[in-house]
Amino acid sequence: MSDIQFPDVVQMAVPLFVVAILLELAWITLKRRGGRYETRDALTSLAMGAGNVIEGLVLGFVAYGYFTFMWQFRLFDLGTSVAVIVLCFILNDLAYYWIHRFGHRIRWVWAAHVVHHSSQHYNLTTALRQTWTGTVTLMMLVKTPLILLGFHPAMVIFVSGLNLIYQFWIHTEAIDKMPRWFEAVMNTPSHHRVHHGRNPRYLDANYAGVLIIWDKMFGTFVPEQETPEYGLVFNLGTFNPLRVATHEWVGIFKDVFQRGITMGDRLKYMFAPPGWSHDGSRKTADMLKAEQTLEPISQGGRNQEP
Amino acid sequence: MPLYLLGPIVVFGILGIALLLHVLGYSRRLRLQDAEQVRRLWRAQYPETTVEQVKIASDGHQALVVTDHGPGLVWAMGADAACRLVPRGCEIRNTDYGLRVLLRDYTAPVVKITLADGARDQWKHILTGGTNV
Repeated sequence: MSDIQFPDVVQMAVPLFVVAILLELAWITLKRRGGRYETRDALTSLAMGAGNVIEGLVLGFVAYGYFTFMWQFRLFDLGTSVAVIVLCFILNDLAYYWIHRFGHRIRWVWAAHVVHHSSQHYNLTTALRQTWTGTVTLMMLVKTPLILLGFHPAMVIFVSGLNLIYQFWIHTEAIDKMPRWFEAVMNTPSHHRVHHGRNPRYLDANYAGVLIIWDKMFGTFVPEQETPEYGLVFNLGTFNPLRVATHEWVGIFKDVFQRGITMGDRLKYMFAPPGWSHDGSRKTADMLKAEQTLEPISQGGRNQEP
Repeated sequence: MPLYLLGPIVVFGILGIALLLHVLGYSRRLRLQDAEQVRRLWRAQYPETTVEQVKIASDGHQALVVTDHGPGLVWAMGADAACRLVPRGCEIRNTDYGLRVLLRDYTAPVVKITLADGARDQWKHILTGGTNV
């Protein structure tokens, strides 16, 4: 493989993250609006972010190794022109949409992604509350078509980093709405607040990374109307980062290895939507929406702009 | 970015932000004001249950609820709250500050409750399946 290198933009952005958090904190403190901070919650989020960076250093070779392996089967070599990088960024954002959607609809993937939704706050530290177990989900497979199309693995990882950096600033309540044209095309704080809301009408909506158009195309867009309540449907009672990182995996383990259920049930405890249970004792997002007389988004519910 | 730069930025960034938050007063824990607030928090987590009685601990950071599904606890998680039904047979220890309830729940392993001696026995009675708050 040719020796193509791109900068590690996420690591380069770490000082920017720190400065932006301090600015948001100053804004909230001085203006007494635009969000909430709490010490232990923020500390947990930052610890999860640091752990995620460490996971990347330790296990980053898995995704890169897989992409490098697949590169030999590429159909084309698209090169590294600016136009190709832009195209790669857009298609990677589409792949991100589906990875994110799988992250909410498949419990195995949710077990990693749940970490990001486990804070009852919504501020810039929440953006850094990231999983330590993302590699286990094997969601890098979803990006296989990009490699086979001829986007260089280093480029795919580069634009993935840019995607992550874009999503940092949208984790804030300090910004209400962006200009109308921007809200129409781009993911914004308003759109992403909906994604983090535990209000039934907001569950499993707005999966976009950078471009909100994917949600509008695939029927998962919900505009911000009522004030979101943040966190999980069933909130955590611990700030322990290790428990935050692993609690859903522990839940899967207990469910899968319980006595008296079928092999099909065990598989569903791993791969059905979060909240599925063999005896109906728990509720999926679709059930919670139905209780609120909202149809599931995937069945054409109230998911369009008014 | 080399690790010798990234490491200190991450470590001192986290510690600095945590210290700043504490100094600015963002470490204050939720204080439960009244039964209605406790009921509202409980309903958000367990909408299918009916709260029959509520008792708030002396420091306002925990509350005991009696529901039609058994006893439960609401407690401060920083500025927010967590709620759990208390399963039968969970371990409840007397401590010098009150009670320590081990919920056998990986997502909420321990609840520490500040109580005076008299209230401690009453809460323990309720949490182990007795009635009358």
